[in-house]
Formats: sequence, C-alpha cells, structure tokens
Amino acid sequence: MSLEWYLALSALLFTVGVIGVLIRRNAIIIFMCIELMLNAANLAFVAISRELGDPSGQVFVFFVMTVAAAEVAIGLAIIVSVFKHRETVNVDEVDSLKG
Amino acid sequence: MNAEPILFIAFGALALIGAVAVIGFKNPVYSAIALIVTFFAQAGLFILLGAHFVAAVQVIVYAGAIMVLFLFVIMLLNLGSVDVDRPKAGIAKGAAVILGIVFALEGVYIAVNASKGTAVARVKRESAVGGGSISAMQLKELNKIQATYQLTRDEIDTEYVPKVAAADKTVEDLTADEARTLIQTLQGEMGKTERIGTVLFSKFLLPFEVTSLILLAALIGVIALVKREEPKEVS
Repeated sequence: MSLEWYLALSALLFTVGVIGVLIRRNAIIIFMCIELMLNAANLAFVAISRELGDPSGQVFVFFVMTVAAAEVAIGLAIIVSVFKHRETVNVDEVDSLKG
Repeated sequence: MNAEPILFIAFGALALIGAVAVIGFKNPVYSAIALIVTFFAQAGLFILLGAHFVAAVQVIVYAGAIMVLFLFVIMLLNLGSVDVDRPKAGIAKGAAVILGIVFALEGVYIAVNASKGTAVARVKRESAVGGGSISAMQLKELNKIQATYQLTRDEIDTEYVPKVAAADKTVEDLTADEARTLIQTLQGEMGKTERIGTVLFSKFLLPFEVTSLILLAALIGVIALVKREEPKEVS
C-alpha cells in the first residue's frame, strides 16, 4: 500500500476524533477522542517514516506516546478532582470560568 | 500474493469502526473497549509498516497502561451506569458533523496529494536511478544509514552484503541494483528495536532525557491534584 492510503486513513481517524470532541459532553470520552487524534498523528508519522527510510518518525511516535501518557494522567486527575467538587463530568456544567 | 492491501483494509476498517464506536456508545465503558480495538488495529497497521517496536509499545503503553487508567477512572467515578451525555441540540450536532465531513475531505485531499512534488517524491525518484555499478548517491545513502545506525562498514559487508550479492563482495563492488536492494533491506529494518534504540540514544538523546522531565512533572502534578486534604489540626 502506498503512503497516500495510510495518510488518508490517518486523516479519517483524526476527523473521527475531532467530531467526537465536538459532539460529546462527557469529559472522559472527550479525552479518549484526543487519544484517537494523537494516534492518527502517530500513524502518519510511521507511514512517512517508512516512505523516507528515516527512523526519526518512529522515534517521534515514542515521544508522542510519552506526552500522551503524561497528558492522560494529568487530565484524568483533573477530571477526578472536578468530579469530587461538582459530582459531574459533563463539560457543559463545568463553566466556572465562563464570563 | 501480496497480503498487505488485504491486511491494510482489514486493520484500517477495524480502526475506523472502533473510532466511530468510541464516539457512538453512550456508556463510557463501551467507548473505552472500542478504543482498545482501535489501538490494537493500529498496532497491526504499524506492523504492516515494518515498525515492530512501535507496534509493541502501542499495545503495551496505549492498550495496556493508558486504557487501564481510563477504565480505572470510569469505575472510580462510577460513570458506567449514569448517562451524563444529554443529547446535544440538533443544530450543534449537525454543524459538528458537517464541519467534520469538510475536515475529513480536506485531510484526505492533503494526504492523497502529499507525495506530489514534496521531499517524499524526490527520494523515490532518486532511488529509482539504476544501472551499472553502485552510484555515488547510493554510497552517500549507505554512509548516511551507517552513521544513523552507528554500523561499521565491516558489519554491512559481512552481515548484509551476502544477503543481496555474492558473499565475498564488499559494498564498493556491488551493482546499482544490488546496492538498491541493500539500501532497502537496511531501511526495512529500521523498525527493529536495535535500530530504534541506536537512534534514540544517539541522535535523540537529549529529547529522550527531556521526556523524563515531562513524566516527572506529570507525576508530581497528579499527586498534587488528587492529594487528600489533610484535616486541619485544632490547636
């Protein structure tokens, strides 16, 4: 399969993630959609890495995974502490910063 | 027969179905399970691309650690049963889907045109030049690979050259076709843990060390965020 197919699949996966962030209100599912987008980017990285014969892309995937793991840990901790105070994970109800 | 297209379609479809299921299910637990399906399908795609190390890390870190964290929080907050997702107003949902479709078309358009007139296409054209003995460009390419993976010319001569040509040949005696196969073999192995490790601990050593700071920051941040407030001492 050529590079285009992998990049197109990556674009579609990314789009599904974007739509998820736009239409869902559950903070945890929004987080999962962010993971989906990061994964789509990883797929593009690996596909281009093979195309160029350059291993940097795969090393970058490694870094993206590290950042994703850190982000999930922090994000879920924030969700847990929001839930402790407000008994909800609905992002529309967490609007203290709304002007 | 080349199985790659079939496997690509199978894994790609599985990944897309899983992704759509993530945003489709009302129950967050089902969404998490669907996300695991997507991660596994993506690991399959990574293997198809020859990135074996990345595929293994994908399964261990994403499907293992990160999803366990997700499920743990879902169960901790007992979200499995309550439905916090009231349906969004129709107009907002419609707008989101339309924007999403536009975004998808854009993304696919860019993806399909990505290799026209870019660095990717250039590399392809140059490596297609062949005929005669090994060219200066191929030697340069080999030197680059050697430097990236910290291989010695001896290692290439004894380990890799016999795979593509007569065993007593050295890199300089190869024909252009053999040299191309050699380069492809070496590049095809870049997903191996050994190769990734070499690159990670030489060229990317500083970024690698910086990731440990990110993880440390995340660790401290999480502990600070969820720490139980100690009851104030009454004096």
